[in-house]
Amino acid sequence: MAKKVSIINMKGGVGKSTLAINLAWQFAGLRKWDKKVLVVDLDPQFNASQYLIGVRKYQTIIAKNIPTIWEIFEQQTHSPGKSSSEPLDPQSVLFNVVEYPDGSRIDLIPSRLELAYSLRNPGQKESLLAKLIVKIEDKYDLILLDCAPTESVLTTAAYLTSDYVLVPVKPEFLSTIGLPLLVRSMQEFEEGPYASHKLSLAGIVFNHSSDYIPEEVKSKREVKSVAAKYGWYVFKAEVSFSRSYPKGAREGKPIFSTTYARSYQANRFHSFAVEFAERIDL
Amino acid sequence: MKADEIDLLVDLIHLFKKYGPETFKALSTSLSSKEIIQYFPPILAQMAINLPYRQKRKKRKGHTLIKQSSLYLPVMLNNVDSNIRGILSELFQDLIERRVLPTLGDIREFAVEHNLSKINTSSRQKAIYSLIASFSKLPREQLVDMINAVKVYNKGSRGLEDWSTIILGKNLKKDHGSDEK
Repeated sequence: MAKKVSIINMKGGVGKSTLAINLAWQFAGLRKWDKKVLVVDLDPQFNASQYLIGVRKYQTIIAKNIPTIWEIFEQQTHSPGKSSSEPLDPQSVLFNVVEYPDGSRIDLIPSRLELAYSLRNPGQKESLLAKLIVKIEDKYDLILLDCAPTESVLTTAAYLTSDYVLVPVKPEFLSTIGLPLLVRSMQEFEEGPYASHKLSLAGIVFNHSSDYIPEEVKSKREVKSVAAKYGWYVFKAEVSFSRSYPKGAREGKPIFSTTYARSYQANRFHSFAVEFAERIDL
Repeated sequence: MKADEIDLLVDLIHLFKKYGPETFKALSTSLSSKEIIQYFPPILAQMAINLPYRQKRKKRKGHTLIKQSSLYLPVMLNNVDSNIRGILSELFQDLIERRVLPTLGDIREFAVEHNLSKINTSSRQKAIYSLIASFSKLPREQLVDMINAVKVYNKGSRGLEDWSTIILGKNLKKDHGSDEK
């Protein structure tokens, strides 16, 4: 059964999509792991889809009406063209990004802008993703959900689908405030109608970290202090700031494949991946 | 039997072990065709010029491999119509020199997207051979279409302009209640 992890922070711009995609590539693309990974793009801004498959394949998805995350949330919608709710074939939403000869692979459930429309009418939609994932999770070792930075039905759907939550935090003041907002959101979820669903905080990872800027040092100290108080795990490995990440995103490459990435940067990310795998017992 | 001949025999035994009896049998059938006769002497001559190629290969591995593969292509296509052979040879050069499908991933993806035989190798050079082999089985018209597709194939720009076209396009699905879905 796959380990299911939501990558989430209520603050935008902390590197959720970049982190999700690079983790997917680490676990599928390195011989050390050889995992089958599914990335679920749960953000109407569809950054994970942009990063993973590029323009041409995305155009194919749109042109051929290949189902996306939007269809999952709207599968029960009654419309003039549909006589009744038509169940969505779970296989039809899986878009293969890469398949390695040894069988490891990355698949994607792509997102699209229209997902924002689903937020307008959220009724009864929060469990649809979890129900679909249950039908396909045996095909994967790891399922990563790249979440939107706002509290909505998509957040509840992510929690219901996941075993763990991974929280990237950019070590700067406004970004760190997203952390207690997220924990509050998790607490409210646990106290709500889905209290029986087990959801664990895998940990907090410092993303875009530089080590030496005073503001960063202060922010990290504050986060560690709050984390210690509430018993949240903070990853020892940090993902360092590198211009290779945005360049990799532009070229559709992971950090370990970019020609310009210093091995130092790639190794730091690898160290984080190792610690993350241990945390979720991957 | 001379020492050189014994060495050759030992090499052949190693190669027999490596490639298996079926490959040897298939090669002997290929070598017995009339067309091969016009290609084989120049290949042997070129190889003789390159000897001892193993030493060169240590110095400039990639370059020698490309040279070698160029030599073996006519053998691979010896049963193919001469016009198609010409087209495929041109494509082969474009592939080798990375003018088209520059990465292994591109070749694999192209094969998948165009319903050709799946390419699982981790070597780009072997992938090129697989692609050429798939192409050689196509009828001429389809082959020409396929080669045109190779020439325009790219992963697509990942730039802002292309994404803007998608995001600002008018083909968004409407809110539910529409009959589009």
